[in-house]
Amino acid sequence: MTKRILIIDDEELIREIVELSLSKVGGWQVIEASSGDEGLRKAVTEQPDAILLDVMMPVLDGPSTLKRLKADPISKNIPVVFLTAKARQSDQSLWLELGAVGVLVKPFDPMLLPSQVARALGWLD
Amino acid sequence: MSDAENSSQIAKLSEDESARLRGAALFSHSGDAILDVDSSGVITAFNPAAERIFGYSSSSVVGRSLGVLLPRHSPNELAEVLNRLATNAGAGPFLVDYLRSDGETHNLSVTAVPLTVGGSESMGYTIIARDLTDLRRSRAHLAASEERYRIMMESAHEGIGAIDTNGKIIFANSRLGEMLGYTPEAIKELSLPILFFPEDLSTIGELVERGLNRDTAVTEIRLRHKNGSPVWVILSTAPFLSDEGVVSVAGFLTDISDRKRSETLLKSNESLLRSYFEYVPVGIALSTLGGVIERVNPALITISGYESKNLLGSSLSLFLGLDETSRLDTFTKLVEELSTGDTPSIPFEIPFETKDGRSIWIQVTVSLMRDEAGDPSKLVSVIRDETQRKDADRIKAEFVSVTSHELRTPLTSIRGALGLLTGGVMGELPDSAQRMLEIAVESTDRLIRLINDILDLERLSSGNIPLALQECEAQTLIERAIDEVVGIAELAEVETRIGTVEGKVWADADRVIQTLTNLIGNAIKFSPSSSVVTVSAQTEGDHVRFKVQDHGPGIPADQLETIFGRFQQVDASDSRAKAGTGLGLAISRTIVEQHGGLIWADSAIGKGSIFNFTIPAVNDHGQQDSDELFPDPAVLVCDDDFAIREVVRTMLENSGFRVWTAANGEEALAIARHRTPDVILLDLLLPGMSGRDTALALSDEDETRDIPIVVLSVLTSAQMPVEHAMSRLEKPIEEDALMKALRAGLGAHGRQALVVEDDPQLTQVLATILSHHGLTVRTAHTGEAAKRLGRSFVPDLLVLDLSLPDCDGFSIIEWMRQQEWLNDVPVLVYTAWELNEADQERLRLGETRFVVKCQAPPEMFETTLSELLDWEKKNLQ
Repeated sequence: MTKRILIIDDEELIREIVELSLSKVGGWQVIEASSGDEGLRKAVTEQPDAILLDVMMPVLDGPSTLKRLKADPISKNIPVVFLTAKARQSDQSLWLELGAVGVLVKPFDPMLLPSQVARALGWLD
Repeated sequence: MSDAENSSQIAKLSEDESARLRGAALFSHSGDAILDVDSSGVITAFNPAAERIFGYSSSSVVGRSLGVLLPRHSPNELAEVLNRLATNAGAGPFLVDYLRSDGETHNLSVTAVPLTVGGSESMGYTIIARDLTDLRRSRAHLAASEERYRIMMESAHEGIGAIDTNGKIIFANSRLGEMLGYTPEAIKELSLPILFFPEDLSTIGELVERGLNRDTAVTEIRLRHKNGSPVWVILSTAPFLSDEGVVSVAGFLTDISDRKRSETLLKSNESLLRSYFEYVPVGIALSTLGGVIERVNPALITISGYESKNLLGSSLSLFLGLDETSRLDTFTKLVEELSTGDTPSIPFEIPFETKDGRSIWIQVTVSLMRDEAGDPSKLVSVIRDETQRKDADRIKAEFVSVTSHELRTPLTSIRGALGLLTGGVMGELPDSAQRMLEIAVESTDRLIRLINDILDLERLSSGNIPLALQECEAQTLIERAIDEVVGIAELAEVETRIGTVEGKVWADADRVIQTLTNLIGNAIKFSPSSSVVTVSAQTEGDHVRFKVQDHGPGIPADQLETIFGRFQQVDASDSRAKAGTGLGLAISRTIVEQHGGLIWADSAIGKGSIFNFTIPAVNDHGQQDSDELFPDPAVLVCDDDFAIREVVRTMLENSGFRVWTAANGEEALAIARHRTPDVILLDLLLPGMSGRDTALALSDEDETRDIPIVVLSVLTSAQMPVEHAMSRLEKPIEEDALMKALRAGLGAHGRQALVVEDDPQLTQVLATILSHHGLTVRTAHTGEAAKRLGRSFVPDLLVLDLSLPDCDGFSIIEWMRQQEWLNDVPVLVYTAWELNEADQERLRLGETRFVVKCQAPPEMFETTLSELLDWEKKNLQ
């Protein structure tokens, strides 16, 4: 069955690139959300197979969104991968401790992104 | 006979008579010997002085030959004397050494006068002998004493001179000459206005005047050296007297130029220091060792907004952010640390509220002033307003963070769009368009690397990324770094090889890997294909040296240092160089230097290069020995007030705790997760995430849920309840209450044993046995460490060896008896000593058992241990 991925990012252009990359290169179905709140709603209603989450977003940032996802029994089992331009080592380990399964950095190569996401999610081998 | 003739006759007679009378008086009273000898050499008269000088009475010699006076002389000599008298009559005086009958030699000056009457034949002689013996003796005496004085004058360390009543210099010794740059003779030719400075001449005049009035005086005065420079002396003057009164004034001069010079230097230093104190733009406070401010400079008044009358007499704790209760203790510890430790000064950085209510950041550096005996006498605190720097740091950090995000966002879209195009997602493109897009992708990638490196370097050098130091195996670091470059190594067809590797470092693993990756990446880039890059590491003293060796073209000697600068390339035209950002080595150097290491390159043109760097080693015998396995209890102190964190840290470290600090809730959470402290001390009023939320978050997570929390607050539990806190301490913090709360916190961790044993192997064995019985083990190798730990937790069991390096087990038990919380601790004494009943009695604390090493079989320890634990279990029920 086609994997369904939710991308939560406030930057429209980046969502577009990610959507193209994951659908055209990865062959997955992509659901988009432009804020943490919208992401939380869609995670519940759409029940995606995985979430790709931006860190620096207005109002509700990535880590807070993650905490809420993990606090809700309906969304807490959806694996989350951070996709971020804020790539400090100390932050990364903090996010992993919050329950993210992986951290991918921006800018990324859209041709490689799907395999990187799959590796982080343990979907490969 | 006429009257006139008669009277003249009378006059003549009386003239003769008076001469005769004069002669008789002279004869009797003269100091010279007078004796008459007739022409045949017989003594006819002998005066009293002759009796004294020759040693004979008149009666014994008159009428006898002159020879009687010369009993020791031979008849020939006598004849010679008489002959001389006869032939040289009237001549003289002759000097004669006269040997008296009593053996003394007297020096006589002898004159012989012929006695004639009316020009006739001599009737004999009058011999006059003057005794010169005393005179000669006193002359010799005088000469000797003059010589003595001369030697004294010449060898004196003082300059000595004399001037006569006319002010002329009549004497100068060679020391005085030396002092003034003249020969002593030359000084005598000089006048006072040359030797003294004009303004001092009146003083000299007074001194001479006083001398002439037979007065002595002492004064400090300058003389003028031949070269014109002043020579400072202490001058003592004294009159030089003779029978005629004062003949000269003598002066004794001690050179004090050196002292004067150092006095002058001291004075100028003092005025320099005073002007520093007054005009430096940093605040300075001088205080007593107890922190009472005694002096402040104008800059401190400007910085703090307080007037000096507000500051003087108040406590320095104002600038150290200390509250009243911890104050005295802190100053005592501060002085102790400054006077005994290796730290010449202790810095504090704290927020400060000025008198007019502004919030600023101040950096306070406290150091110690010592008195002449070298004992601590004052605290000197230098206080800087660091608000601007703090602001600048914050702005820079914000800028770096914002830039990093804001630049990367559009780059992400550009790189993404280009990637999708070149990847053919949008359909096949003509070759020429494909090539153009590949160029765009390559350049975008390079721009991204550049931005990453610049931001990295910026963050590293501003110290914004603290090092997460931990023990790392050199082997692991090298393996992980090589993993990262596998791709480029394959592409370049270069083999990466791990050479000899050993050693452990105390380092931030990610940073060292970054450095290694940089160096190995460079090495690969510059290596010819199918060559080898070798990475090795070796412990050298207190550090581990990493080496990355390539067989590339090498680096010219004059560039071995500059390549570590920013944007430096050995050969800018080298296409391989262009793949890098030119910041890799600068970043590597920053990282290595942050670790306290060195980085450098060795190279030979045509043969290759070796890049070396050092990182502090973990010493196997050092801080990370068995304590690593059985660590001291650890407390995480979370408070946004730096001063409180430091005060609490000091208290706790002195009581055997390891201490980690966090300034806010987020930091506390991260530390708690990573390091799992035994107790968390949590302030409630934190900026951002509140203390309450932090406690909630801690209780939410598996790793941190069981860590007891002690809440630290100015609010009471009624004002702000915290559900997950196990106890609460009110500020200001009292040390006893704090310890009690922490001991209770540690008690929540299940049963704990304290093993006091100096042998590391045995400690290990005992600890393993105890762990098997479900006890958490803490170990102490010395009595001091045991007491420290005894303050931090209440052991459920104490295993005690009696012979320790610094004390014996008896004193530990004695100490524990004085700590009420330790009174009931069960003890297992495990010792090689034979103990009599009195000894055993002294060692009892709670339930106490004894096992004698060697005597008892090894199982005995475990059996006794089980018994003791069983007993405890029963008793607890």
